[in-house]
Amino acid sequence: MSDTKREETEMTTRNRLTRRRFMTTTAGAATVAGLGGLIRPAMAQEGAQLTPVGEMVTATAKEGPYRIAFSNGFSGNSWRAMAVAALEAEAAATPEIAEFVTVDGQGDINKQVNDIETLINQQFDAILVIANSGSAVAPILREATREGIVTAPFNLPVDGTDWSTYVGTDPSKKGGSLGAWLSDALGGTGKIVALGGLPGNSYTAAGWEGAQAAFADGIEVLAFRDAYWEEDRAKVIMADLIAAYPEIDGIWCDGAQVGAGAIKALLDAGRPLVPVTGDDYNGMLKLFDAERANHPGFDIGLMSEPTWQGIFAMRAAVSLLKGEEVPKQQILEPQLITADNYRDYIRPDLPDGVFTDTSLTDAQLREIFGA
Amino acid sequence: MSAAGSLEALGRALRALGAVWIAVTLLYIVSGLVSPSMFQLGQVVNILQVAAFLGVVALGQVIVILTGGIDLSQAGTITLTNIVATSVMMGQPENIAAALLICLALAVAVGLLNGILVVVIGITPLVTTLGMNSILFGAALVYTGGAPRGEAAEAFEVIGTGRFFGIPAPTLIWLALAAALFVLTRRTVFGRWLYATGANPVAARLMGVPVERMTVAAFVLSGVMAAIGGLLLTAYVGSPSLGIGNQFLLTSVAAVVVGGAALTGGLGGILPTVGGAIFITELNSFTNIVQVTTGTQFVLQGAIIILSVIAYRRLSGTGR
Amino acid sequence: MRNCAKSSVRDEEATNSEEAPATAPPVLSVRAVDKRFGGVHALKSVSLDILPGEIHALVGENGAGKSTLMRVLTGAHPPDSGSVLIDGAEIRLASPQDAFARGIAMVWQDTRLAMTLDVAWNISLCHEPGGRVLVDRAAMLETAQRALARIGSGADPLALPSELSRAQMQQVEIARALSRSTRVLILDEPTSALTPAETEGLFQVLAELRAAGTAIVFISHRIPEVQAIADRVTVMKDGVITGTLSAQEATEARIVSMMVGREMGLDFPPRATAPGDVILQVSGLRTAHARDIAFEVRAGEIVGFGGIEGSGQQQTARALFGLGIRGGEVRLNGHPVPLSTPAQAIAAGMIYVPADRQREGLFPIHSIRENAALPNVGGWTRRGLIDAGREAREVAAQMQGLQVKAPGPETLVGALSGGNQQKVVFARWFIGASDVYILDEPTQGVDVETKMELYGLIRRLAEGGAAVVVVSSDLPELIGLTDRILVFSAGRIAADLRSAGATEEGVMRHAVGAAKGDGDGVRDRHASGPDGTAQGRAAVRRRPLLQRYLPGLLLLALVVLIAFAASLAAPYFLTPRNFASMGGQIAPLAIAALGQMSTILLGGIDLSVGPTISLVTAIASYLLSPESGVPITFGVLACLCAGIAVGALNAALTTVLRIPDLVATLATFSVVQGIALIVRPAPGGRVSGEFADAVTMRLGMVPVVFVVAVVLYVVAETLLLRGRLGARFYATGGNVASARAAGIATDRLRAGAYLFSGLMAAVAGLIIAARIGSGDPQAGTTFTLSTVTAVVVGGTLVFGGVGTAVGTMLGAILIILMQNVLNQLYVSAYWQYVWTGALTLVAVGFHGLRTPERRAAMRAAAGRLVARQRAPIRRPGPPHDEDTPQAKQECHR
Repeated sequence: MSDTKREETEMTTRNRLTRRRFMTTTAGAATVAGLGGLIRPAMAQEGAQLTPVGEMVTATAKEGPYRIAFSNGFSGNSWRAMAVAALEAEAAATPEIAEFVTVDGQGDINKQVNDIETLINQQFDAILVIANSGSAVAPILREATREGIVTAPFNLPVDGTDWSTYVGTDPSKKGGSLGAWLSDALGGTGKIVALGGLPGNSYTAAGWEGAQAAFADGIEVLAFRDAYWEEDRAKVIMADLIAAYPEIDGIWCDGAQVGAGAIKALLDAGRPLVPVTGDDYNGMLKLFDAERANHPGFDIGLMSEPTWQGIFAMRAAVSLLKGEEVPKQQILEPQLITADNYRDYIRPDLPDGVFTDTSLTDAQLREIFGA
Repeated sequence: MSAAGSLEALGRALRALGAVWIAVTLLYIVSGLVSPSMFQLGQVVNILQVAAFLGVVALGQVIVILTGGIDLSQAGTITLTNIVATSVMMGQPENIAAALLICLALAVAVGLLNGILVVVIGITPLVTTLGMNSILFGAALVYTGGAPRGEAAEAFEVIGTGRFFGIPAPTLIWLALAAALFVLTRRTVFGRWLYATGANPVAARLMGVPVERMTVAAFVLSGVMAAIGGLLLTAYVGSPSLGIGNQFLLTSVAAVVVGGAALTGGLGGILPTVGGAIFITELNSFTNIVQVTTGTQFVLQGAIIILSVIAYRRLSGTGR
Repeated sequence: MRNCAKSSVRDEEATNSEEAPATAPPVLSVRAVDKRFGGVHALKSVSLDILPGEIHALVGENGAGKSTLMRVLTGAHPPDSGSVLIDGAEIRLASPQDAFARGIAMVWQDTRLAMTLDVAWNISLCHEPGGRVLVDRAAMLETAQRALARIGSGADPLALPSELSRAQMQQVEIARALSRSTRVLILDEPTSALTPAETEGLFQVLAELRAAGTAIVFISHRIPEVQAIADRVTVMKDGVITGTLSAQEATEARIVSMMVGREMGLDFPPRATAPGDVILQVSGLRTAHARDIAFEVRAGEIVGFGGIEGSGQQQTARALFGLGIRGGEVRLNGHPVPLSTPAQAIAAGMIYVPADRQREGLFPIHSIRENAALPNVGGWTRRGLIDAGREAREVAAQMQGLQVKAPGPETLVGALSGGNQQKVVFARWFIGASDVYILDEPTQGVDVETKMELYGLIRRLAEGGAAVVVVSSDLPELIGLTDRILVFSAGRIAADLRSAGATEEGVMRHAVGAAKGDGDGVRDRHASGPDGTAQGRAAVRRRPLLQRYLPGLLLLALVVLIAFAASLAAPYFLTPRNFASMGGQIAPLAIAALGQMSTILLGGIDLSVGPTISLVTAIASYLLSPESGVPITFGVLACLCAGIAVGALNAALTTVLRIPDLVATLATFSVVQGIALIVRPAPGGRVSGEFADAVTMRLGMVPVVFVVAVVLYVVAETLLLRGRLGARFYATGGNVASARAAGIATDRLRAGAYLFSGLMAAVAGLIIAARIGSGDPQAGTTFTLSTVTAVVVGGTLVFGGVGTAVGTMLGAILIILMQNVLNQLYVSAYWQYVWTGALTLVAVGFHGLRTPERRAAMRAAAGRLVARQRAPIRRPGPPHDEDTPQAKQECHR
């Protein structure tokens, strides 16, 4: 992720709106993106906004209806399931889209490149991508773009600019915000541990880089460990860290499953709970709700990673196909969920795996989660 | 005669126990010297608790490896168990029994299928179980639609996080299972047949050993152990995760092989495998505590495995 | 790669010394050689001269030190002290191939043929005619035919060793030794598996070799044979040479007394006086090689099965034990017994002691106790647990009773001598009580003293009231030990003779006579392989290539089937563009899989392939980046070196430190993954466009990398099929010991395979780096398992020795094709996992079913799995001596 891009995204104030309230700023940002007409009431619950970054771009217009493909780097957690469901709902509701298919990279960097190559061969009009690696898909997206296919990566930034349009959070900035929150929550001094995702993954790497820059001088990092975004791994690693460090004042994570695992390790060890960061994972919110009374030191600073961001990528792609202008990037400003507003997000009636900043209706969520 | 006899008894005991315990002790001392927190009683208990999950799974793996097979579908079984258990339990204590039954039945079915593919169709265990692993993971995805639901009942979580007399419940369950399997492999006819099947299936068949059934039984045991491991892990974390089993794909084999078992079958044991599981967990724990980057952590783990294998072979004087 | 020692130098030496056999100086000598294994002093100051043009017999009991001496002579074990001299000059023999190169060849008792190579190749192994790389198959076949003809062998040069009889296998080994300039030929118990006629043939060959000046060392237990052929006889006892006798001095009594330290004749125990009731009654028994077999055996009777090997006697014996029975009725004590499995036979009270101890009788990696107790433990349980005390007592009693020479019951059986191993097998069946004992070549490969003991034991069994059947190719034994002899000929019982008064000639007359009269009964396995007919021969000739490529063809059929189905359902599948893409996608997987295959072929595995690919992309993202300033060729070389370095690490761990392959490469997996993460903690960097374009270049539609992969595979397949290297891979993967015996430097080969695997992973890594344009520490993660899958789906055996490059290529194609097709058919991501797994199983299961034998084995296995019968629990019983037939009957109920 280039520095210039990051500078460009330093703007918009954070909105702290309840999830039930319609958000005018989101609508406004979307209008800039030329998509205002497509916003439906279901989107009302999102508490985040999109900020256009960079120049407006166009692509060669094509006759509709369109065939759109989604190369999902990996499927196998509830976030991805919700993201795919949101895209499918959007595709079904968009008359210009005749065909929408999802292919799965199975977490394999190389297979995803192969997948996209196959999608190019099938002459899809647009390819949406959540990359396994932000750098590895760059060459194949360049090739797709050269072929006149609209390429819309989202969720994880892709290196370079040889793709059509990007929608998503800025992992580095997000990690920085989480770091700043944790630093604030600890009053600028304290010993923390950090738990990340897969070793060598660009999302965690960027986020952790941002976080380190945001920490106050008094923050001492005891350890950074890759926890594979798995609750059980995080719990095991945290148990080791608890044994090694008598004092742990805070936990930085880029995913709240990991945070939940770490908190459960503290609970098992009979240690007081400490401030923890993460994302809008329902399990974390439930855990916080259950334990906050017993543990005055427990605090959460969570930034949502909206599962609906792909919808905007899809809309941007359709706009480009229709010959309309869209911003090169739309950076998503996620909501900060804290002790003050978590009640607006928590869903005690739904499974832990729900990411609560969602465009999906309760009925759709129940269907996905079989609840 | 008595001197030779006692020497022989000592050798027998060492063979049953496994030279890996030398490596376990060595690593413990070295890691404790590097990071003294390893010497705390709490950390010992912690390692034993975490080792229980791998330990139980490896107990199943060693049974299959004793017959000359390998079970790479344990990872998928663990994931599926975790998914099914939580979704059936839905946090309600009255569903625990149903969840346990369904998971064990599933594990038995997977083991039977593995065994039949190996014995009847004649597919190599490696490929059979690798393919099965993919199928099981796919099944977990299809079942959940990628979005796992449910959670473990609180009463159930006791077996993952509870302690009795200061010893973690999973550790107790693991040791109880190890004791049971030790008796099964060393003191019963079934156990003798297991070893015979792995050491020389042709001769075993001529001795009346039902080689085919032993192979199938080994896969079933392996599946059941993986399921128990998965259930303990589920009780430990309390929530479903589709990636929960992945880490066991090769580590369960590693624990068994570090324990000195031969992949060709007929050599190895339960107690060395317990040591192998402790060794791998100890190693992870040590590298978690030591202040190094993830990359160095990987390098250290690999290097320590090599050094330990070399060291304990030298010390125990075993050729293989 | 040069894995065999060159032999040009010794050719000259050989020709120089072939003169004046009688008075010539010794060609091979040992002087004051000492050798200890742990506490055992195996050779004590042994000195021996082998003269050119003599047949020098070496006799001694098992454990006398003969084998150790041979191992010293063939370079397998260096002596602790003392020296080995060739032509009077002291030399150090570093390895069997070193000895081979100096003209010392050994024919082992347990065959050391490479089971995965055909006869012709076995004969020429490490000495193949042809160029430096490829062999001249025609010349090889001719050499083989000539060598086989010279010793009068009818073995088919194109047959696999598994299709030969034991005698033919041995002939092939001798032919191998003779096909190069062997000056000293050492034969370890060469006649133990031969019929008298075959033995006669062998002796003729040996006599011719002697006349040609070859020195022959002949190890044997059979004193008459030694007397018949040897010029000199050296006797060993307890690691010491007790003396060397000339042919004239070597009387039986003298040899035996030097062997055992006391006078001892080949005495057989007295025969049965009055056999009891009929115990075993067989009628209409049929097997693949025998039919209309009917006979009875009474309590207290020993009945011998004789005849030329392969006349049906062995098959009949095995059929009684439920092995290969095709019909007929077997009654035990008047009651018909079902006999479809050994378990049923044991339960019914029948015991079978197989001829092939190593393969069918023993668990060499287990202790004497475990070996002896196995079929009996069921009777020693208390509340489901084995009574360890009783087990120890029973085993100890048998060990003492049979005088098993071992440090203790926990000694591993693999460490025992042949005679003691056979005693363990006997001990196993002596613990319980049975009605019928079927003993197949019970004294094969056993020394004289043990033989005598075993004869006594067998007679005691009969005296205890059991019915005993002995299959033996040793005529004096057959006549001396038994009460009656059933002579088999051409699959039928040709004669039923009383042993008392029978002569060797008499037995042979019946064995041969009927075969001439009734030739259609059973095919003669010796004349021309399993099928004597002309068509049979043609089939044998054609089969090797078909056999080799059948798995590949089936896989190809599957690939075509999937492609065809996809072309119907997916509109973009059959486009050149799609195929070109697949070519580019297949290339890295196929190239990495080729490296993986080289390790799996040798029975190893390389788990570090995936991390190596990741590491190479990481390195490439620095060295091959546009900003690096490093020339591309240098960058590429550095990446390749990284791969080779990983391979070298694997090679060192497995061949020098002898860590099992899986553990070693699991460790390097971790180390290399760690280094990749250190080099590139997160994805990034850039690979220069120039390099990426060069790698992703296409010739027309065809990606260059795919062409490279195909070329690599063509070279690999050619080398495997016709190259010197391929034979070394197959031989070593099939059996390391045999490969070493043939003179292959197996460790160097293994090391080479790991280096190659590392190199191929590096090439694949470079291709991936070009495809992803950057470095990524996770880029290769999935390659470890996908390369293994490609190799194994391609028909390579996980334990090595069998496999083709073509198959591996098809395996790689299948993997990529499945991905492509599943994507194009819009199979949901979740179902893709299920389909990938299921199709992998189908693909591999497919070639499991390719032969009728496999299908029959499948049905049999399924039958055994579901059969409603429990494995037997042998009833416990006191030793037979005190047993009366009545008591046995009661026990039996």
